[in-house]
Amino acid sequence: MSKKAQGFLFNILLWAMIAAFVFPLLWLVLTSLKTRVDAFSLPPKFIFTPTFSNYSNVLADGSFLHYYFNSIKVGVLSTLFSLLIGIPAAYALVRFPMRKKEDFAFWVLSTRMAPPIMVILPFYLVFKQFNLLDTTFGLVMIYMTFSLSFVLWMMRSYFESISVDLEDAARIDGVSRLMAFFKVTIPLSAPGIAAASIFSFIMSWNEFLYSLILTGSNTKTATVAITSFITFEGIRWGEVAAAGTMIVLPVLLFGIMIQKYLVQGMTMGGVK
Amino acid sequence: MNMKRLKLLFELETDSAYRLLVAPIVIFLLAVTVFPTLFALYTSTQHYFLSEPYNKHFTGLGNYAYMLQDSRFWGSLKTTFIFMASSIVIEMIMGIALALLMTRKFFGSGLAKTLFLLPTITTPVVVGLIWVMLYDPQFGFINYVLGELGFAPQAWLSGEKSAIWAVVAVDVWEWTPFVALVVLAGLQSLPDEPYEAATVDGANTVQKFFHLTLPLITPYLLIAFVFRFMDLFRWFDTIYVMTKGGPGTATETLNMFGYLTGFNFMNVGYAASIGLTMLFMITAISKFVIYLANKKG
Repeated sequence: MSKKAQGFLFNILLWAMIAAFVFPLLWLVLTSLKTRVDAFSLPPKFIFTPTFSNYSNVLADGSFLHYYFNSIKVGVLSTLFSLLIGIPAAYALVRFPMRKKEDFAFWVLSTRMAPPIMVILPFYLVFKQFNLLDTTFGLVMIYMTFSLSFVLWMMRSYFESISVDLEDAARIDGVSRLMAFFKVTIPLSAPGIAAASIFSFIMSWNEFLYSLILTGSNTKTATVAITSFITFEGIRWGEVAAAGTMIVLPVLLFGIMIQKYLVQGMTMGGVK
Repeated sequence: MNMKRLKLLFELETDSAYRLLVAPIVIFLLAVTVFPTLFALYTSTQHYFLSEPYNKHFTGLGNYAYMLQDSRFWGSLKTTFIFMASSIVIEMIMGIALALLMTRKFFGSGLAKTLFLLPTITTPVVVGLIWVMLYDPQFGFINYVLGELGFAPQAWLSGEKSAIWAVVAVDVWEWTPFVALVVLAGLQSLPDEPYEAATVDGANTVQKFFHLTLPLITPYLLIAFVFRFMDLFRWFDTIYVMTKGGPGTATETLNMFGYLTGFNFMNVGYAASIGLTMLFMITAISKFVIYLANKKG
């Protein structure tokens, strides 16, 4: 076989594998655009007249939309508070003489290892006692337990990449370190902050177990709400697919936006 | 402390100002880690059913004693182990293979990397639902394809034997790309010199892979391993929507067992002791892994 033919085959093989990995997602989107008849036809249809009726069914009574906004709200709030207390700590780790820095960073990371069932049970019992079940506050606080460690680790590696000379130059010009932090370091870290925010938002958006246990009809998030399309009469596939597409789409778009930081974020600075 | 020193502290001009910066995160994390651990410790010593709170009383190590002879606990431990071992082994082998393929130049490699990431970031609950759809015995795509190839349709998720492998396959789909991209990062950081030297010495491709590439990317493999390990131990969402641990207890992991015990059977005392046992296991294992890593490095 000639080199060229080999290269061609190699390309085909690789792309076939990539297609196999993408196929289930494509199938989700296709199903969401099918009528009931098309969705259950055999052989499965790849070409059909698309319909948005599943989407209008999902949005019809407004409850899914309400839960969708809950997801946004909890994601934004937990991200915001994580940035608020994570960024100063990350800055301290990079710029201040501190003993046992690595131990501290790993301690923060280790909070993510705790088995969810052990974390959630005490909170459930206490929240129940203090009427905090089914509140946004309770969920935001729990979500911060995992988003904080991401913010700290991602921001630490970002601050490390910014030269201290720039801050020093500002301080020689007479501003305090605090002002230099706000006026120089923070603006320079904007891409890092954006990536960390998106990452933290995705984590919170994707979360399921804590929301399942801690929320009710009021603050339920989209990931829990979608399971309500699985009814006793069976699964309403069109609706599930439409709601699923609505949940997954923003994550995929955000994920592509921060692609560069994604593997790094998921391995917390393990891979530079 | 006078005003001037206080001002210096808040302007972060003194070295000890870091205390101000790390205080919020320390307080928060202590509150959300120490509190649940102590509370779980206390709850685990209680005979405590949510359905009958009036009957709550101290039982000492009763819940732990019960756990040791509870066959469902041992069963879920075994299921967790099978899940983790098979998923990790398959994902590592496939991940390395895919990464090796992707180091070669190919058409649209940038786009390929992007598409490749998608399964990994997809919302796990939705991942579960997509696969329930694909596995559907009657209308599912998988049985359709198998039928065309002449195989009999299978009830993948409700089969006592097939369910666990059907779920493993979903994890493999979701996370192999992640492993591949971590390994790829390792492969792209490889130095050229040792390979040139090996070529001069007449080493073939296979020898180069086992004697050079594999040892050099070990740190990256370790990272992929540790993160897969941690996440699989916590894995819940996808199993919940696909099988809820069933059929019977065929796919019931420790996590699912703990959830059902606490929130379906309302036995929160026992659920707390399961949670603490899991915490003990994951801490012991990660200490062991770090010990191994340090010993090697």
